[in-house]
Amino acid sequence: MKTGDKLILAVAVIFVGWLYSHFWTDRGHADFARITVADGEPQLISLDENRLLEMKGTSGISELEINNGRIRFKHSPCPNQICVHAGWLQHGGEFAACLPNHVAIEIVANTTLFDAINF
Amino acid sequence: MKRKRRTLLSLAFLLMIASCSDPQNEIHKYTFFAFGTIVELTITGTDQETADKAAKILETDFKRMHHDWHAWHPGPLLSINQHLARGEPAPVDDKMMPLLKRAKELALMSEGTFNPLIGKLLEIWGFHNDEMPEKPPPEKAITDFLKNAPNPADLTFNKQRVAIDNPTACFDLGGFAKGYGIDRAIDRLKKLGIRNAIVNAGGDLKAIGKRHDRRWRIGIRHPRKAGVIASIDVNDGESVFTSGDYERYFIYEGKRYHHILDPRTGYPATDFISVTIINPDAGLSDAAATAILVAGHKDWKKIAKKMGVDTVMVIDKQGNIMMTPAMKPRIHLVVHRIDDENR
Repeated sequence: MKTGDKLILAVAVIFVGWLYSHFWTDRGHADFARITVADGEPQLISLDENRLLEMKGTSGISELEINNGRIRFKHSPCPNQICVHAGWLQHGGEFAACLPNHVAIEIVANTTLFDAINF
Repeated sequence: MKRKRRTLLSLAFLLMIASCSDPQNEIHKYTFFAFGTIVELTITGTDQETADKAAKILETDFKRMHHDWHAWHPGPLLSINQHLARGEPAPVDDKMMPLLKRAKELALMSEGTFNPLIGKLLEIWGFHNDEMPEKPPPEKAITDFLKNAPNPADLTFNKQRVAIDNPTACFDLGGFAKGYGIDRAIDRLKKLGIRNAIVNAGGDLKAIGKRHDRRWRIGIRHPRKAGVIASIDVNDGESVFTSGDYERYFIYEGKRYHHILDPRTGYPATDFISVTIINPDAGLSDAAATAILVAGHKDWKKIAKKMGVDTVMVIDKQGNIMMTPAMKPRIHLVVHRIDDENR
């Protein structure tokens, strides 16, 4: 094996190592939330900045809170508050919806652990 | 020889880079509100335009199914129920007929644990409403219903009509229609040339093909808190269905009352908090998950066998996870016991 071969091999090994660390070791940490409201186009919202968002659904305003790369339904105008009780979402693929108000949140991460969630 | 090796290594490297940017590998995701829930569609192995078109068609299909099969909003099923309540045979169109016939078949297989005719009972409980009830109904209302409870075996289908000699019979396809609808949606995707996709309607799903070079990976949500309890890699054409006591429920005086009613007692099923099934037939999976949740400890294995589902996991009220031999190699559990706050 010549020096050139070794160099290419080394680059390939480093590249595979980078691929592994980039795509597998970050176990689904959140980057964005995909928010769907009624019949509107889904919006991608960054989870970098802590803030409150107001989403106007079919029966009122759902208030969403972003904190430390996580997001949750803080308030929603629904009778059962299932969306609020779902708590914080932070890992790729995690999902919560306020069905009466037609607001849904799904976490979109670099590495989504699951292609879909069954419940 | 060395030059050849070097060329091969460089080519392999280039191929790795090229495969990362193949548009066919892109994952197309769509979310829309339909069928009384949120539907998530995931497609890969096709271009953006084809995927966009398929998503629009499916959204329309699901909205139509929701309208046609709704038990208490105006539409064809409500019209059928109104005929049956008057003791008259009800006209049924060609699209609805196979759905109702299959519901009867599944009900007979389930030995009374899945009954698509207990719409009145669900109404007595207040579950035929977009808002949850606050407390259980009076006991007398339930015992009165049970005295003349509708039996699916009495349903007769004649040309374009359905009839039953019992005015308490009222179709509610909540434990079956979603699965049947997902099967139709997957059929539609195949006709549109989509080979790799997941249709997930409110947490129940069916997958075809795979995600590039691996099978689609599904997380099973924890029945009592955020996060997942297990993962399943689904094969081409398989559905994964879970029925649980956490989907529609209310808490009254510290006790959980959920919408999966035992047709034999008139009360919510008591033994299990969730049942998960893997099977190619989504309609069957849906009805069987309901039936097995109702069957409870004593009969769940018998009912699973009778209905022809062999890949089953159940979680009981004590938090124990049990499964059939066929489920064991299919599921990777990350939680081995469930702690429950509202038994």
